[in-house]
Amino acid sequence: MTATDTVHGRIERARIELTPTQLALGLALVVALGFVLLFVQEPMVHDSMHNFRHAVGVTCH
Amino acid sequence: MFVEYVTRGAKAGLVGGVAFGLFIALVGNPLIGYAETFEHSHEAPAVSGTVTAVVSVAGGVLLGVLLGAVVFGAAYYFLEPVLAGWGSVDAKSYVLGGAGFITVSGAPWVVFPPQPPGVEQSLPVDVRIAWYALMMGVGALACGLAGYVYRQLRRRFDDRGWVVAALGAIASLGVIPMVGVVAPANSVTGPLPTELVPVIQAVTAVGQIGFWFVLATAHAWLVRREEPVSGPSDPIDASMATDS
Repeated sequence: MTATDTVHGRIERARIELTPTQLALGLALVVALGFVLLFVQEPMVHDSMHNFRHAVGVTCH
Repeated sequence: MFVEYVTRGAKAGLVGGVAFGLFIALVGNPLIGYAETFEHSHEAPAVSGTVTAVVSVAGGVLLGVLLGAVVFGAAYYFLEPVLAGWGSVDAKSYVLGGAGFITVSGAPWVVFPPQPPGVEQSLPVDVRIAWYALMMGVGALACGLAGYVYRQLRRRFDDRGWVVAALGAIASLGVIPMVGVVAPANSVTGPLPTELVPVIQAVTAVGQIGFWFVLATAHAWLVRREEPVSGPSDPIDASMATDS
């Protein structure tokens, strides 16, 4: 690592490496997956994930 | 470099996810199945028990990959320069794992602790989802604050500062129960014997702590293994070093 390894530097590097489209797609994917796993109320999905939610400790139903 | 970090995080996540999937298969599914036998009136679920068991195990693996990519990929990438490591690369992974546990599970549990199946909760579902998400945000902010306070105090008190700094960091986490006090009350009634509820909560908590521990350990191992490869040979690193 270089001596100038800072959080700011990391953000700058990420801005060089990633396009805004990649960033938006990545964020959308993460939010969507997280929501499906933990909170979706649609009966088929919700009931399939029932044990999983209890095992994680999320009980939103 | 960002992509490499996220890939490495996702690999660690796969290891943690498989471990957590095994936990669901061997502990979660049978335990919840047992707890359900106490339910008197039970609406028929939309899918069969086998589907629930299999999808839940797959969900555990997927959650591992997701959290691995987000926490040990993206968050580690940005926070690596400031994470407390006490001179050890491994410690950084475990500090981040602890923060991940507090954010994803610990802080929301202050308001909504894990519940066995069949429990009726007084708050409506959408209110609980909103508060769950809010508490995750509070958990992340409190962990960030703790890290910031720790660094500031370490800097101010030099050599013997770590005790003061550690106390400051722990005090910062006190923000979480303080917000928890403001949260609306959620009264809970369930068919289970009262002695059984804490057991299920403890098993759930141990499962989550174990999950984050495996995740952090796998990540620390991957970082250690790749360590000699990363460095000034990286093209962006080299260009940024010459710029400044």
